Amino acid sequence: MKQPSRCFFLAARRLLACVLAVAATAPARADLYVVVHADNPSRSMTQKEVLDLYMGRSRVFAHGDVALPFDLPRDSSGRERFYQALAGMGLSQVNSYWSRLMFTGQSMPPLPLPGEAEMLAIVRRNPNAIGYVATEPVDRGIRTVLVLREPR
Amino acid sequence: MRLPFLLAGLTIGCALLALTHATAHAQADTGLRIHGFGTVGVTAIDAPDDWGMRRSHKQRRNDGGLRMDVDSRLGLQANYALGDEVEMVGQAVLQPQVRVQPVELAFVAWRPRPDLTLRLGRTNNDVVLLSESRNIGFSYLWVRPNHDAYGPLPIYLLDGIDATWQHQGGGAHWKVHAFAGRGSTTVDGATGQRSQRYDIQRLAGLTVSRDQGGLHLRGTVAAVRAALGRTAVATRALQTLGQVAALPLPTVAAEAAELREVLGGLLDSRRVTYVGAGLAFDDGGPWIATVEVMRALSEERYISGRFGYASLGRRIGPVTVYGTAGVGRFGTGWQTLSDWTEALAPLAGPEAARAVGNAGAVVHREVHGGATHQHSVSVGLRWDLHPRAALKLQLDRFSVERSGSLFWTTGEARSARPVVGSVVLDFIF
Repeated sequence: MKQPSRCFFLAARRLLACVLAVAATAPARADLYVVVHADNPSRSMTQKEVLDLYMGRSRVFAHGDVALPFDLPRDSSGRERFYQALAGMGLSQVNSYWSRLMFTGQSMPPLPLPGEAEMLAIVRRNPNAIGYVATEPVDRGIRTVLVLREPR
Repeated sequence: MRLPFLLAGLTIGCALLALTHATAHAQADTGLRIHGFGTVGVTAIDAPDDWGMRRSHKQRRNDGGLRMDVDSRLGLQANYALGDEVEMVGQAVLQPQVRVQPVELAFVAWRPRPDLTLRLGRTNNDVVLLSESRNIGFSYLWVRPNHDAYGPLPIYLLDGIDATWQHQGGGAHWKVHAFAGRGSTTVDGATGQRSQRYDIQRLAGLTVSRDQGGLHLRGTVAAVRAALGRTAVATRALQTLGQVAALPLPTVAAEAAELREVLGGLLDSRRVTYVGAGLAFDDGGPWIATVEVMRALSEERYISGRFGYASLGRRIGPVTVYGTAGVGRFGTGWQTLSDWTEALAPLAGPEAARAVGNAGAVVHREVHGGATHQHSVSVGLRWDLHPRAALKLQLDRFSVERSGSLFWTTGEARSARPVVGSVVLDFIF
């Protein structure tokens, strides 16, 4: 009677090991948090609204206030992840798109900041600012208005 | 290879800067942002000996060979924001031209409302799809905008005013752009020995565009009054043609009369209306498409024309392969002139006959030399090897009719099928 139990235990252990191995090799999907100042009237935003701001198609929040979008460094992996999640575009495509708007004098791309710490600092002190970070902020002065999932 | 060494060095240096330099920090405190773009390119042409490739009338005709001066250029732009509503923009571009006109943009923009922008100063016209971005190689798929369409277009800079109103509605982004102003360009004369000023005395236009889901649609109408710059040489040519038209030589007199009428028309202000439509699709997915058509309507057939092209690209990772087909017909085209020297010699003597004959031939060439009658097929690829740099290879096969061949050569008019190979590196910084 002990042998069938032992076989079952061994099988279960092997199965568990396989599951853990598969989970370890599967790419993690992280969230990206689009954030604004806590006093910003926007409680939440749609992906299209954020996309329009970051692609220069809109300059204002839905409530009419001017929006100041900020970006991470141009060639950074954080920026790449953001635009892939937001627009399904790689950095080359985004930069190509913005080069047309910028060098024809129509619009300027979001101002790049050195890193997420600077991004949070600017959003914390400017009610018109909008930015994004990879870690959910816990600062009471900052509100998350959209959570983006990275595509597989 | 021919290219001013200074421009070549600056362009290559900036390309290296773009590929290796870390992103510049935000200049939020000053409101000043400086950026640049450029292209380093090499072209080779397989064509009759005295034929050469050039992007536009603003470049000199050349005799082909391996060249860097067709596509290479370097641009620098400064944006200075005075708060949220006012911005000043200046842009200079270094590129080989008949007459160097480095300032491409120099304007003040005012945004009294988030959906309304007014600009005053030097901007670029918006008559065709790539009017404003012709120099920004990194922003489009190909080595250069379709040559059949953009090669002969004479409108470039615009000194004036424009207004852009944007609206979100029905899930689409609408833009209405009204523009007006004047401008001047120096183009290569058809003999290749002199340049010719082309004055846009008045231009007013309206473009309406719609963007949704990666699909960009646009329609444009623009009215232009333009003329070639009237010079002392042109005035003397008109007088000479008038005298020849009065001679008792029916064939020569008729040709002289027609040339006098056409040249006079080109020197006087004439109206051209441009009507066009364009479509561009790129939703970030694997397919990219562009289609554009344009008509230039005028009572004067030598400044009328039409063009159309279509391009389809397939994105495969960082590489996009594409094919393009186009056709363009501008101007009346080349017509054979009789031998004035032989006909005039008995009347005027050999020396005078030769002088008048040469003058007639020069005027005839200048009048018809701007015409382009051609179509082309192109294939190429774009490799985004860096987020801010792209390498492109393109092969163009042109079919050029004799009547529109002088855009390519300072030699005799003839039909030919030139093949142009190009390699360019586009970058931004």
